[in-house]
Amino acid sequence: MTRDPDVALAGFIAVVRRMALQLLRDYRFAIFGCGAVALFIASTSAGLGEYSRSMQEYTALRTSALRQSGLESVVLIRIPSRFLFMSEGGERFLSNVLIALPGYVDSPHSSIGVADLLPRGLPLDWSFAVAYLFSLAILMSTHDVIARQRQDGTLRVLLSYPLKRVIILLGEYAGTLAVTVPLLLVAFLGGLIVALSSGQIEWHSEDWARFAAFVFLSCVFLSLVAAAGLLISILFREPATCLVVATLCWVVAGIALPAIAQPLAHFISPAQAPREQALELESARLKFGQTIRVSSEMMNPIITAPDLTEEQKNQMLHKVQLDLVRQHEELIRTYTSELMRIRAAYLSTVEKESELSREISLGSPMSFYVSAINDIAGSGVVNQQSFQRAAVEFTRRYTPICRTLRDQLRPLATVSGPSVQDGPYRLQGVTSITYAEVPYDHRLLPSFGGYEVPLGASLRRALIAAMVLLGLDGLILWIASRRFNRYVLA
Amino acid sequence: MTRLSGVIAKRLQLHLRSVTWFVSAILIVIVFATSARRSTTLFDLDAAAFAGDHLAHVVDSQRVFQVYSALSIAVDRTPAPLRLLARGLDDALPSSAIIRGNFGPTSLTSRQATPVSSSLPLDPVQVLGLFGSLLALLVTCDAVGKEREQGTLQLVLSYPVRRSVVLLGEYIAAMLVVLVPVVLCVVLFLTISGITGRIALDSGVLLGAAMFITALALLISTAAVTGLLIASRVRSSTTALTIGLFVWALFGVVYPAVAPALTRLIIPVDSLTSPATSDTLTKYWRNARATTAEMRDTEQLLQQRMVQARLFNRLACLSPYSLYLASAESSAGTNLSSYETFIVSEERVAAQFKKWETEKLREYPTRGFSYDMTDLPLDITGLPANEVTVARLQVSDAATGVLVLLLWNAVIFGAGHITFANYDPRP
Repeated sequence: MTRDPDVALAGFIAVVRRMALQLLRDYRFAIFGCGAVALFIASTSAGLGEYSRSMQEYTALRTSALRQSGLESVVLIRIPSRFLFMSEGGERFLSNVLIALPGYVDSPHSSIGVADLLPRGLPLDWSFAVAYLFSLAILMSTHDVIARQRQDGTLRVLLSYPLKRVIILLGEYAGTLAVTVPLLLVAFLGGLIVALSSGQIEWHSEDWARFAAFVFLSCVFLSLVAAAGLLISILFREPATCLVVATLCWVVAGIALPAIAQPLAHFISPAQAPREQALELESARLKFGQTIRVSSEMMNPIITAPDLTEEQKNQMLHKVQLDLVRQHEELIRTYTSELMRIRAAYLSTVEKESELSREISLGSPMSFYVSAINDIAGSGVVNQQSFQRAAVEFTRRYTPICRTLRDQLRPLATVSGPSVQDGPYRLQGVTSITYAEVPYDHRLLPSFGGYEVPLGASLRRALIAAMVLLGLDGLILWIASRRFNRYVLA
Repeated sequence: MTRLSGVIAKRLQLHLRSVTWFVSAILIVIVFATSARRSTTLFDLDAAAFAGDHLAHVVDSQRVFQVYSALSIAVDRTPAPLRLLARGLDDALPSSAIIRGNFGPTSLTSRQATPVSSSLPLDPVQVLGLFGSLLALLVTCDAVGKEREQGTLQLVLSYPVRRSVVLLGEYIAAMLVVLVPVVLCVVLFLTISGITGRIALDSGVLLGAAMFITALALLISTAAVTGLLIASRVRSSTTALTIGLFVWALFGVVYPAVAPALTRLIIPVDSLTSPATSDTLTKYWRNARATTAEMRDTEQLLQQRMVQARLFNRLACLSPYSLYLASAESSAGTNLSSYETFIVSEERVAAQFKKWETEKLREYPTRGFSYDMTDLPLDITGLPANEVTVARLQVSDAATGVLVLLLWNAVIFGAGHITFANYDPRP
């Protein structure tokens, strides 16, 4: 053991160089590393393609939605995130539509548009490429570093250096990073060039901060993977065992852990079953339906009266309907708010379960990293949440304007029924007023949009995630150095 | 024969004692159970959505007396029973057609499904295929190299047994250790679904399940023979395992991820002009009805996408895993053909309806998009009934996939046989 810092430094550098050269000569690193870089760059074009498809669909849907929006409801369509290529965040599984009603936002719980018939397969984006492909590539080249050096005898040479074992271990680690980080930077730069040269996205100046955060967090995450590989190579003596253990660890962390998150969340805080919600809605319908059914009995005698002319029939029906509307308005309001309460309670349990499931799946380093990148990119769940907040805000502005307009335009509205009213809840036998054909100035209704995720919040979350990953990294290295101190050569 | 069984027994012993096999088998069961649970939840939701839609359509087609509305009848597509295993295109394709006769376009709507939040969006079929083949590769890749490194290979080859018998023994043993847990998963899942009344275990379902299990066995066999080929080609067991993993990632992960993009590159689909938002909105506000132009665009788009999907299925021959998925979907009845059955009956019913309408309602005055029912009651005797179509299992499609998989197997096994014959067993 030397106490001379110069000797220690020279030794450290020698270890780093050795390790770097060993990695560079390793065919596994070449195959998996180059494969990962190629797929990373390819994932950029895949993500950009996804974005342009979503934008086309968005534009088309918006045109169609404007036609359907009015004083009854406004159809709100979610704008796809610009950073789909960085992190898709399950955006394709999230519904892209909300419906603003006076006083309430409802989620019809399904996307609109024509479904793509090709299986979308894995979400090929930057965060996926780093979390699953690069991590596999790095794990494949680091999982048996020590075990292999022990087997081919080079470890004996290394340990004969006048250095502390911790320094040797750190040297090996630094050597790994010295090769992998430049490889990563090449991939990231390649991806960035593809994204910028495609001309499909607008690139603002603040996006550089998002890109920098992505690069930093990815490097931190992959250095954690490298540390884990090093630990495996110390814990197990045979290279073949190391390989199997590393593969299993990757499968457990990347697939098995996230897989059990949802059932676990369901076990802890089960969302209300859709069937239960349907039963509740049905009982409310029956309760109110009894009161309202009288109306159709009032209508039928007029409709079937033999001695009246069509003109008279229509006049009488109209009068009866207006009376009914007045009588039932209060009742309908109570009924509607009851239905909304049931639906909101249901949606909140669903939301709670999926939130918990997301939180549990953060136990997997891969999911944790992907979710942090998702925060940076402001896509997927984050985009959906800010869309929802904006929709609630929109409804707050829309409601009073809509109510005032409706009061003014009541004489022009079409009174229909008694019929199956065409609502989300099929209000049987309720008389209704439709404003679909009433002319009014559309500009009076508030406009919707501008809900991009702010940069500050994104960077703050990214920083916290980086701290957590770095802490984990330190912990693994500490355990590895403890084990390495007691490593038996023979 | 006894020699072969001797080799198999010896290999089986080794496999069953290994930690890798044990841990992997448990992992497969856990992940399969998770995906089976998700699949069951989705199945229940879809069954409920189908029942609700169908009921609403029956009510709609009879409410002409009550409302001044156009007549409409519907053709509904039931959820295929075996979508419990492979959902395929069942969600993406329209599930009901609402026919409005002479006054409006036939609107194709899809089932309104509540998306189930899941951190593992994999079908049971995908779980079994991916992890079954991974396990088969892990088990076979280091079979020869490890024995050579330990020196037992020379002992095995000194038995009075031909090398091909040894190879066959390795193959059969690997197949047994992987297939047994995997097939048990499928059988147990289908039995439980049968007992809980989700599916009727009739001859059709059993035939589909049998076709599926054949495809699964062939996929795993492809992985096993590939593993043996790698093992007899590469000397070090670590290298063999690494190459095995690489092959698995290439065919199981990379190809499925790249294939859709490749298909889009070969057959691009025109940009959308006006897809029918009414699909969702119809369910929300019933009066939001698609216009003829919207429906025409939607149908055109659907046609283009079906052409894409057909090419995608043909390209599946390039990867055994994709081929297996395609045959699994065919045997579950959740591929394109199930939709073709549906659209044929839709066209037949629409033709009947229009014919009836033209003859029967000639004397009724019309108003905009509906009949003016001033001369009530409207006589609707002879109105064609709503129809329900049932997904048909596409045994012939599945059989083609199975044959191509067999070809893959034969070629790789032949290559493995030749390499192993020349293998140098010295440590």
